[in-house]
Amino acid sequence: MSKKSANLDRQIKCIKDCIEELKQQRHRFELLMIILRNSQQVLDQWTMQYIGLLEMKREVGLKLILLPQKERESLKEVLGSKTLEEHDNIIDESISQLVSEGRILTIAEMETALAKIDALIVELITCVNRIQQGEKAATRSAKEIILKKVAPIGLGLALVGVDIPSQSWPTVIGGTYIIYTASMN
Amino acid sequence: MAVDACKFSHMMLYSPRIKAPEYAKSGLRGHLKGSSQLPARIERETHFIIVGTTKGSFKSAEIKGGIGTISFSRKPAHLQMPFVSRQRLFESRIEQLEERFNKLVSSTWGYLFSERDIEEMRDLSKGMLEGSKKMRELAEQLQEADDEG
Repeated sequence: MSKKSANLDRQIKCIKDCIEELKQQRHRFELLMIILRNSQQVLDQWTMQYIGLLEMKREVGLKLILLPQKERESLKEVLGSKTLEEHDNIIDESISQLVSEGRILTIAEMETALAKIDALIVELITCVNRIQQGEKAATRSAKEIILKKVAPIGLGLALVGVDIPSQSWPTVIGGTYIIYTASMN
Repeated sequence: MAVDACKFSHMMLYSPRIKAPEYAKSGLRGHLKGSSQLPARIERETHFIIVGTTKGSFKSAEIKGGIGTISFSRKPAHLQMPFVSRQRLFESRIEQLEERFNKLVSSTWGYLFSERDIEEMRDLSKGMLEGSKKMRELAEQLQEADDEG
């Protein structure tokens, strides 16, 4: 097998693994939505109250979300080489957007995000088929989807994941909002 | 003087040499909005903030967080009214509100979700973290393979 063909196989394997992982993550996110949906009314109240606080924070130029040290460490492990400060800015920007809109992220929107993740999975499967048929451009498309859409969704999921056990509702909102915006772009 | 600043350490004696913080009514409104949105109403307290100075007098804003009102008035400078800087007051209030919010979430969390739900959420979050780590590694591998190709 030539080096070129081995490399192509490696890329296809990466994309396929990524599809599988995305499917599992989607399933976890869906299960979480089911649990949260049962308590939507209270969660909406929490969210509205927290948005009031965030508005005040933004007004005086404070950082919107500050993760506790333990959560920061877990997130650092997941995010790897990228600095956490860089991600802090992404989180802050996303939350800032939500606050400026003065609204909450509804379960319906989270469900829309799930549908968009489904669409991404289909797109990636199509890319794999195209690569196997010898279409070179398909590799680039798959790479763009993974780096520009799937990776930010991963960040959102990591945030949600890191904060549920510590009952940090604000960061759950932040994480789900990142998943939502990343899937809608 | 009917001034009830949140903490004595945050209070300063008024002096005409101290530059007054800029007038920002919208910020004060945000402060009120945040205070009044909490279900457990904050006790009735009053804060005075210097929002502008002129010769021999200063303009102050009176905030009653608990009942959600705001009013402005002009006071003579010789009253030596203690004041809290707008930034310090807001930061301190935000800290208090955030603390209350976190208490509210942790006290209702257990009622909101069953033990089984909490256990399931723990497993899901663990999976989400591990999955995200794997997704990041795959994206890096793909990038590497693409660079080599």
